[in-house]
Amino acid sequence: MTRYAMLIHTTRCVGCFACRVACQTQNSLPASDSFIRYEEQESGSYPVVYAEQVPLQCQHCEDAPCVSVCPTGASYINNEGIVLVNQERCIGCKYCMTACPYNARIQDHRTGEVEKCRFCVWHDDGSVPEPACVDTCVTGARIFGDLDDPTSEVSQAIVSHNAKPIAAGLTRAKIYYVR
Amino acid sequence: MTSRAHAKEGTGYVTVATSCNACTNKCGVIAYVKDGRLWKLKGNAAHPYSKGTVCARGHGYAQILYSADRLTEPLKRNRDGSYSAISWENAYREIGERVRAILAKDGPEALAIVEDPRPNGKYYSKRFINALGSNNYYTHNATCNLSLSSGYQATFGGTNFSADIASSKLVVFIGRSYGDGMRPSSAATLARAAESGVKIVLVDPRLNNTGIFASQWLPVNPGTDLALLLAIANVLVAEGLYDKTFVAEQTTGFDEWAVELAKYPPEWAEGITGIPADTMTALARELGAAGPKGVIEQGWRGAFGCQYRNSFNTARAIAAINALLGNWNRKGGALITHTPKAGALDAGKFPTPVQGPQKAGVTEYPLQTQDNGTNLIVVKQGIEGKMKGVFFYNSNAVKAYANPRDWKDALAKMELTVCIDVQMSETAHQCDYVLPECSYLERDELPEFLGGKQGCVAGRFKAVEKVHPETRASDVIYAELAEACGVGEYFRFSCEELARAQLESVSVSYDELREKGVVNLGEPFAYDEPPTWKTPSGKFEFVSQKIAATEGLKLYTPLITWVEPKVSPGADTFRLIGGKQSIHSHTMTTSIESLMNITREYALERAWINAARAAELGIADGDTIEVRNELFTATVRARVTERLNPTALWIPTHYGGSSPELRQGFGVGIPHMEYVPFDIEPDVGSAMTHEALVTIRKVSA
Amino acid sequence: MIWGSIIAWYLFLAGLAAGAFATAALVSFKDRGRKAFVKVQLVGRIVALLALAIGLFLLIFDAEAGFKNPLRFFYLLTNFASVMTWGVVILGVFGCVSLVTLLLSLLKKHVPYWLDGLGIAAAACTAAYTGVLIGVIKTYPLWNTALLPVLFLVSALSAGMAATFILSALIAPRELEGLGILKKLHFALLPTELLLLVALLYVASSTAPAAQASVERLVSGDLALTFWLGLVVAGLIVPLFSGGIGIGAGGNPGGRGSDTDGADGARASGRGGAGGGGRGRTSSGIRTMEAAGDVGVLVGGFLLRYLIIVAAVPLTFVF
Repeated sequence: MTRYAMLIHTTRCVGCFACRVACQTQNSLPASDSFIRYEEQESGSYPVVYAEQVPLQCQHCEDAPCVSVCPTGASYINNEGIVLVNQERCIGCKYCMTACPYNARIQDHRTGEVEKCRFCVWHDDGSVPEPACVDTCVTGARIFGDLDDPTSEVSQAIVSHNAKPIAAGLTRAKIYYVR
Repeated sequence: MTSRAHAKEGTGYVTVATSCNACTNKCGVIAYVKDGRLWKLKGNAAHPYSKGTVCARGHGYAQILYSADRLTEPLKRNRDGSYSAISWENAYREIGERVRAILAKDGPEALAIVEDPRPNGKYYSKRFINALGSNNYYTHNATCNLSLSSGYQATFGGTNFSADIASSKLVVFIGRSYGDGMRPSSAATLARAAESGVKIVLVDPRLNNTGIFASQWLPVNPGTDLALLLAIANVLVAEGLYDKTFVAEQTTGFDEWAVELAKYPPEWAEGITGIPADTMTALARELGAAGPKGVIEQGWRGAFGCQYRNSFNTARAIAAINALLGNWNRKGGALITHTPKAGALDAGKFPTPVQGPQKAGVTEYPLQTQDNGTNLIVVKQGIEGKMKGVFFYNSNAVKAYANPRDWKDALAKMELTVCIDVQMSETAHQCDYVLPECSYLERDELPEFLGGKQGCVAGRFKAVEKVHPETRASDVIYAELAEACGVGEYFRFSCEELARAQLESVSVSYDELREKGVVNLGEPFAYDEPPTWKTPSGKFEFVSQKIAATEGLKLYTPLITWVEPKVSPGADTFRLIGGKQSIHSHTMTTSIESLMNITREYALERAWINAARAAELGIADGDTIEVRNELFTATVRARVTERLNPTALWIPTHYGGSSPELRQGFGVGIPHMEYVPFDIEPDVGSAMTHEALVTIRKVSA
Repeated sequence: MIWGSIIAWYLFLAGLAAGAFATAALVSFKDRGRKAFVKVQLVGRIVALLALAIGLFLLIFDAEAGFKNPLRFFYLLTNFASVMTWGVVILGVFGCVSLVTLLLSLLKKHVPYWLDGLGIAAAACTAAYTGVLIGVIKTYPLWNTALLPVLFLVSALSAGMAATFILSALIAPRELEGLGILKKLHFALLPTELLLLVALLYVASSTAPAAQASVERLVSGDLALTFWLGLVVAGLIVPLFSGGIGIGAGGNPGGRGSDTDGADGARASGRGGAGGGGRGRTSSGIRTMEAAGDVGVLVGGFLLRYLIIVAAVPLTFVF
């Protein structure tokens, strides 16, 4: 089986927004809509200060609350573990948006449908997905790959960096963070 | 189950290897085009600056193609300041007539051209002004890195170097932030270096976005980096922590400078810089122990490219410390790499214009690196009535270079002002003629030769057809303008013909470059070869022989000494400092919707103020504050932060757009340069953009 | 803010519909086929169906993609793991029963008790469902309590009664005079609601920081004015006072035996027409005050949903 996952090194993230804009163009999103959002925190006090940027997007949870609340079955998990929205079924009720604890879903007001990070998966040509955010990340803060393949870069990096989901006990998320 | 969007976007594209135009790096990118429309960009892995990635500016600026705010036809200014369409032919004819009139009455020295250099501009803008008999070619450098390049030239003869971060042990950044003013490959190198244990020290009044990689932040009082550097040099020399062999063999003036340095112990610098003496001493010792793998990074604009009345000496001090540490061309040190060039071309086909009179400003500011000049002289001579005509190409000088009011005064007095751009910039608004260029994705340009550990040549090739049929490529505009001005004989070749000739001169196939976007040239850089010092002495100069030989200097001396900044903040004032953000490239990207959406969503236009100072003034995060000085007053929201030196107010420099046609950026944030008094760094020619004080008060919560 | 005032209106109107239906059904039970409270029943049934229809329209309107592609609503019955799918079933049953009972009432036919019983069950499910719908959402700890469905249920009945009573007061004031026990129930709902609200805020503020932040926004933050003046004062305190005074005043003459006697009284006054005189009649001042209290209940009912929707701060977990 293939189970796609991502690792994000926040210790490498300079908060440059390249992933956001790359994702927007890749997915032809309007300029105001983004699949990736950021939280920022500074800690300490002058002159000993530490600042951290954390990019957030769909965590592709194995127990995705968005999928379980979706009344039409539009939200689903594909056989590669990627949470997707079948837009032909989406009524835009936004229940999934409220259910996502990561606030990772957006409504495309051109169609009224709900959208989200798809790991840039192409279903039609069978090729390996190549997420634009990973591809464009200037500092190499993102790694993408197959969690079920212990030799994949992402599997190994998760082990070697002891990467963890962004929040413990929230969902079984498949984006792992190095903090 | 397949959703529409997925099926739609997987296939059916063609790719074109070209280069980005969103900033001066011009990274190699691959444009993906679907049905004749640009879909997306990817980084070209072969390009030394992008290494396969694209930053936010690169992705965002590509949307200029389809921006509703682009210029689509030539415009001529009416008496009331409004603009009307004019045909290309009429615009050329009228511009040509005015150029001839100026040439006849005031001579070629009354004409100038100003640009932010790009591959075509570097060649065509210079050639055009030279063809008119003038040497007055200027770039943005006087508000960017002129002090830095001039200072470096006065020490080691070159205009820049690169810290070998990947192989270093300790890297000290003076005001530069790879996380804000971004070159992707540099940021990637730094990320890897930090992870592998290289110690990174940031000397910056603001804990900038490179902070994530830093082991130490030294929040120096802005404008006093020089004092910190002199103190480090003092310790290195006093404690004998310098590379004596290198100093003996490769340098001149050490003994004399050592005597001067004795005046600058860390205890002296502490009160000036706000950094504890012990911290500076410890850093000096660490550098001494790490050298040649302890290095001061080269900077760019950062803290000493053009900001203060001592920036030239700051650059010299950095070069000198790298010399004390024996860093030059050593692994992990400071590298002076070779930049390849095109060879000689057929002089019959590509004739060289006759050399005109000396570039204006060179005499008054003799320590500057002369290639790019000081554009401020155009303002000065414009106001004085000496400069009569100016062309702008890919330049928003009026908004970004010096005080906009002075630019406007100067341009209002001129007899001819022409702006070639893709959008109706603040500068276009001050010009008689506005000529619309097609965007960088709609035109071929000349190859660009790049230095570094591996020299190369990079190409720019048209990715999509013109969106607006009346726009023209810069090479075409220049050739047609030249024809109208009576000097068309210097432009009787196409851009492609010239590109092919240049590539042929270095034995690179045009088709290979078109296919790959980047082709390597020459051998890779070899460590441990001492640089060829292009100085009068042929050595690294702790005491500048060029300065000693120059008469009439107003400020700088052959020795690298402490120089006071021009202004100092008091108890009630702040020094207004500015900087870049990773999503914007000067003012040119503030018209881009996706980038300005980020600005709005994350309130990135806010002015940063130190938390303790904010508390004193009753200012809370997000409050609207008034920023005032004798030149300008405006309001902006405050970002209250622990990440800023208390003597400074920091603003992003690119906001405060005042061109109503550029709707995205119009009125967002405040314009930095409006607060900066028009002044020029003595002897060097930089704009001293951080020599301004402001007061702040809370307006509303 | 993902959901806004449109969804608050929907939650309110669905609850109101449920409450109005329950009011009508209770009146019918009390009536025991004597046809003494026909108009009040009819008013309740009309209010129920109308409110439900408007609420559902708002819900559909807010579901932008479905609004543009109505056939997609057929997919609504596919995922029974979703509370919303169950909601569709519940609303379907409730809507059908409402419609049928309204038609029967309009045709002046007796509504079978079993049908009203089924309707009350469906109405209770509807009202509780509006709470469960958002109550299962872990993202917003303010919503994510077991108390919310109970609070919404109580508030729904309260709002439904208020709406029915206001309209009945205009159309059939005499019928209303005989419904003392329902008025008491209506009154009793208010302290219950207040208690539940306090409990909800207390429970929430002692859990996640996000719920604490939500409660702060309500009690002392940007929403405090609406919360205190709109929900607490207008929505609960004013109705409590006016209801209390109304029951006090109404209880004197007609209150001797305010259950069956009241019904008899009403029937008597109904039969007696204008000549029935002062027995059991409430003064117009008190009636106006009661109406004002009922308007307050409606305002409070809407604000309760609105404030709970907009005040909810999502979970924080990044830092």
